[in-house]
Amino acid sequence: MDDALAREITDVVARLTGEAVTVRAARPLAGGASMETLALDLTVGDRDEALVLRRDMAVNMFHGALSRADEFALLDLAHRRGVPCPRPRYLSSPDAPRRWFLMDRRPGESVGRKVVRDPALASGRARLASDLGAALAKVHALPTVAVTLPRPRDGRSPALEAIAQTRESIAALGFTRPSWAYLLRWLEQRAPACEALSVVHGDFRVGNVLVTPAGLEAVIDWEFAHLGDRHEDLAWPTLRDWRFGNDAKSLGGVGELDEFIDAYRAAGGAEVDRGALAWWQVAGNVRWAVMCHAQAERHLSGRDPSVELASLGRKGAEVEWEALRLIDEEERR
Amino acid sequence: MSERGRTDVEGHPTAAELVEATRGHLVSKVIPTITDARLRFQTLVAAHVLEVVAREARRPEVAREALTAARRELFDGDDAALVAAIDAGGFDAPERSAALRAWLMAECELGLASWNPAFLASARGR
Repeated sequence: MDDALAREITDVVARLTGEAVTVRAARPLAGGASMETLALDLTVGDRDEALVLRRDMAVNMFHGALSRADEFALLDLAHRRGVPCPRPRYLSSPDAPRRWFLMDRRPGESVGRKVVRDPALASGRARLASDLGAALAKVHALPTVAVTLPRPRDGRSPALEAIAQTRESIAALGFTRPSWAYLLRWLEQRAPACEALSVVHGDFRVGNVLVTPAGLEAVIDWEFAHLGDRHEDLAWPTLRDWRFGNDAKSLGGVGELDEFIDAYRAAGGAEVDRGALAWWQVAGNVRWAVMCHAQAERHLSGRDPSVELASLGRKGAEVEWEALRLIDEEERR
Repeated sequence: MSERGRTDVEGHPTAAELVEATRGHLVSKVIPTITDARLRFQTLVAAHVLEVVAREARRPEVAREALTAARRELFDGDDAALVAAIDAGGFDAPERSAALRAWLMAECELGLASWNPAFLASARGR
């Protein structure tokens, strides 16, 4: 971590707490491409604090993602309302060139491949589908008026907003594919209505949760939260790609859909419309397929040279195939 | 798979054999020496990409030709024209929709045979 950031952090935390602050250690955490993430050990007064820093990248590639200030406010609300998530602690000042916040560091594994396979997590895995269902019910119970979150534009339903966003991603790519045209038309003609907007996490799946041998520890990575249809969050963790190779378990490679839904309902979640769920499963795959090509485009455009990004374009075929297969299944029903 | 003695190719060894030699070099000589986790992962991805390219170079031409012929039977025109036809409702009727869907899946499957042959075996039926 550079000295300027260390100074900025000690200044802000000292001002917020009125105590002397030193940074004892910092190490980078494996995280998404959208945010700089560090594990940070501070001494604040006479206390040691184990924290995580989330900081904006110099260039923000994801339009519609929350600002750090809005993410901080949402985490604070979620934590106070009993959603298992890290408690946010300190927010950078508004004039910081790249905004950040610090939250409590919680134990557990987030890397999807490990969550699905690590023998040491077997006991946590066994209950993870139901833990996720119960946690999601609490997310969807959050009051929508208490936070500033993006909402569907121009009076659209969340389903039509999701289609509009996918079409915008395609327009930004500069090319389209017959499969995308087919999938989007299918979705458009069947877009479900949504009677009430909910707080939607927006990236709720294995890979974005901390897991210990005791089960779900915390839901993390809230930057894509928005107001929308709760079926979006219910469908997203069931996508084939989020099973991390363990196809035998349809919910995140760790459990079954019914365990997840039953726990969601038992924890106060509203009734699940299976038709809307299927629609959002197709929509989620379509969105992810387009995103795979957008990642490849980051390499091809020369903006962000990386063989990993380039290869993701080919992965798009897996996700497209899955969307088409789901439609096949729906049409035969 | 040995291609020794093949003459119907542009050079010897074949493109697939050269790519495989490069992949072998990465896997046996380079990757074991990488200690940086991020670089190691990126290089493993590069090795996988070479495997994909070798499989694609070996794919019989006839596989692509069959797909192209099936596409012509379904719709005579390029991708932009097909997209316009889909958007105009030309494939809304159930039989047309099912036929196009089957073709689109077959196209994905051709790509997957190179990219990730294990995917379809695991994904079918689940």
